[in-house]
Amino acid sequence: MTSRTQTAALTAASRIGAVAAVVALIGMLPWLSGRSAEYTILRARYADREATPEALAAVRAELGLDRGPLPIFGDWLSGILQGDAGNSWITNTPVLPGTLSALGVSLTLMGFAVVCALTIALALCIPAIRAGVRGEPRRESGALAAAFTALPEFLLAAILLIIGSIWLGWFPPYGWNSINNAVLPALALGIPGGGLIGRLTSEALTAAFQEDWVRTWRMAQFPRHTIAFAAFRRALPSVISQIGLVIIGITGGAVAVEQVFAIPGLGRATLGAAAAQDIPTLQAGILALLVIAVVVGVLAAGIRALLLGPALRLNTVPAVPIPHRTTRRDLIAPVAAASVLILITSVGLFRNPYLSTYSRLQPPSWALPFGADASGRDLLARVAHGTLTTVGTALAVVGVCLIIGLLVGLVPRLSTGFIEVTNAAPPIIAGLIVAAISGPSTIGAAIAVALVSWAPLAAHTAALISETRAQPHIAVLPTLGVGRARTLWAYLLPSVLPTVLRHAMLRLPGIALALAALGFLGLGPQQPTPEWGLILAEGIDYVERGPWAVLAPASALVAVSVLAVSLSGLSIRRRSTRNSVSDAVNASAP
Amino acid sequence: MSANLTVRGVTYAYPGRNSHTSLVLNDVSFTAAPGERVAIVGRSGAGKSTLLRIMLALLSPSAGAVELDGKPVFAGSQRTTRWYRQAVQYVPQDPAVSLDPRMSAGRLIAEPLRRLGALPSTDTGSRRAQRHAERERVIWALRAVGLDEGFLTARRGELSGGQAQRVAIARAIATRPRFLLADEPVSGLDVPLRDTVLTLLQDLATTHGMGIVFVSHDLNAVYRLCERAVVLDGGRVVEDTDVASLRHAPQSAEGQRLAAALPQMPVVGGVEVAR
Repeated sequence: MTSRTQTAALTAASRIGAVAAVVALIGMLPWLSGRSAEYTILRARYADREATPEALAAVRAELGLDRGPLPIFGDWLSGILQGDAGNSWITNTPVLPGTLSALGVSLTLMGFAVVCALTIALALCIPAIRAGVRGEPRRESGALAAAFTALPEFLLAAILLIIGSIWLGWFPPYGWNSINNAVLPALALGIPGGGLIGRLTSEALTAAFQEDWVRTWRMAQFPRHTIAFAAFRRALPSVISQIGLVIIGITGGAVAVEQVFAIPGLGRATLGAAAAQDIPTLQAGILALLVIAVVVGVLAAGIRALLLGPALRLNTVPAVPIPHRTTRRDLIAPVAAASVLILITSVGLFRNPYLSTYSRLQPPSWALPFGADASGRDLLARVAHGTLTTVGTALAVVGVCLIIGLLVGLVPRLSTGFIEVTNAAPPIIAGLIVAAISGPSTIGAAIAVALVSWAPLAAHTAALISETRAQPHIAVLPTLGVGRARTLWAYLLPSVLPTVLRHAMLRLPGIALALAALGFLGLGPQQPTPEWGLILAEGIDYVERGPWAVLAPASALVAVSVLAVSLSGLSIRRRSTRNSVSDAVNASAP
Repeated sequence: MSANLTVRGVTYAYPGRNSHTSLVLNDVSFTAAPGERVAIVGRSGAGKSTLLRIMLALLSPSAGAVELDGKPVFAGSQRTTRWYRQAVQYVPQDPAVSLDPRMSAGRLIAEPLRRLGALPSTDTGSRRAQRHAERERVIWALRAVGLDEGFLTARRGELSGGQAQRVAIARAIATRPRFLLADEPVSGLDVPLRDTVLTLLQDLATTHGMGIVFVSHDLNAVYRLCERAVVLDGGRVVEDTDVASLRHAPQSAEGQRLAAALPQMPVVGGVEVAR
């Protein structure tokens, strides 16, 4: 069969389709933006004019909004190709110069962050390398330590701001004038990414050191640094795509960090444009963020190809298998974190999160364990009800992602490009796009997170389906008169569902954190909804007078971070299919 | 009136390779009569598997055709092959693992009945009557392979190896096919189980008049079960003869090689080695 060329063509078509869809989505934003843009512009530019129908129509005509989606998209695309990103709707000045200077700031910040992340990652790998060259088994690093390196950027930025600028006073809390300004933001961006890269790399290194050739080399008296270097080279290709994804993730994190530290970068500009509904600025910003993501992705693929050389083309390098042992100790961290959350929620659920019955920023006491916020509301009640809001929304998102993931996973070849694009898009960028279209809301945040969170589930479903398809009891179905559709629905779907469902539930805490990040940036639910990110954002303004206003939501978020990291560390149990694979190969080709 | 399963001039070339080496089957023809037990033998690479895929209507031949009662069948949608699948069923290699572990034996056996519409629709047409007829047929199939209705609810994990083989064969005969195509159905089995399966296939052929096309490289099993043998070599039929002649007086070089390769015990250095 010509299935190989067919597959390649389908995959390529799906990649092109996915990129085209994203570009079209960005280009049509002015038309998609459901909120009547002309009001915004009328208010911003012509404050003296009445909002009469004629005035609004004039604005629409001036912006070209009355021409329908395709001409709008065409104009934008031809403008971009000629280096013209249009004029700002608010200031009526060209968008591009501002976007480029903001891009420069952001790239500088990201550069610092990447250096910081790689330093941390290298430091985390040292124990694995030392144990590996000596041939000792390495003790797994604690899940708790891992969790602290995996706090979401917006939370870490808030914590670093409190400690580094306000309590210690070592670094300026905001601005972008000297190298001192870059330290805290770079740490906030680099620590989570570095922690993740370090963890993945040291796991891959440990696995590489357990391979047989290392023992042979050691017996042959190869120098230690030679072995260490070879193991590193062996481990790197299997984690390099992950490293690329982490760096792309930094572009999303940069939006939150720039907002916290008031850095005039691309993320903050784009966020401001989304809030002000300045669509041309938003379009340019999102496009720049996506270009960064694509460039990083291509670089990562290129480095991987360079490291593997011809072996990649021949497909002869087995991925380093990462050993997973789930012991009872691995369960301590998630159980403790879940207990803290349940305790907070069950106590606070019976208190009222909306009533301002206390004095402003009242300190914690026995009657008011977490203190009161700036409006005199009970923080325990707000955090507890926030659990319901955030985790409840996250549950709904997980459900939607599960359905999309299963449906898309059933047609894996057509969806490759969409899986790659959504996998690489940080939730915050999706949040910006959705907020620009429909305005900030709980549902908007949920849609944004769902848009980028289904991809891992789809990839997993696709892998399981192709594995199950090869089994004899599926291969025999055509001869029994079972058609393709029925094979999918009645046989394949039920057999992969339990595994994918479990995987989806493991992603719940991570999705809750993504929702909180959008809430924190004002892209999610609005006041007075008790939502963790929103509560944290409110508290940050009063951090000097009432640190508890930050500590209360931060502690809940830390607990969820611990939960997210420790759960993702547990291996996803796979149905044992190894025994039947050889049978399957025989039976599928009678 | 020829109620035969006929392979007529079947040729198959894998696409995308050059012509000479890629001819997997070259003008293969033979016929299986009702109730006849025919073996297709040959070494690995002789084209047995491809021929079987074509005979199962999973693959269309490059030239020639497989015909049932003179009507040709080609790989296609389930709708276009339904009539053929009703009459020609398949016993896969290692039948036990061809059972979906999540389903009861009753459901497994009923699946081809429902998909292929193999039950005559009842006069009343009511669901209940249909269900009843289906259950009757499933129990008939179970009995025909020596099991009883106690196995209706059993799943693969609850069955012994021999029972699972029988359930798989019961599923193949549930539509009351006229031919069974069996692909090395005993190659992975231990000796007692192998005997049971071969006896069962023989019984089905004699009591229910099902023709059997038995694809194998195991000449012992062929001698046990079949009456006729078609020898394939390099994608061609090199011999089509009764099993006794193949055993004692093979005509083709490949037939001789196959027969010679089957001493009862291998001989090493003049000493007989027990297995």
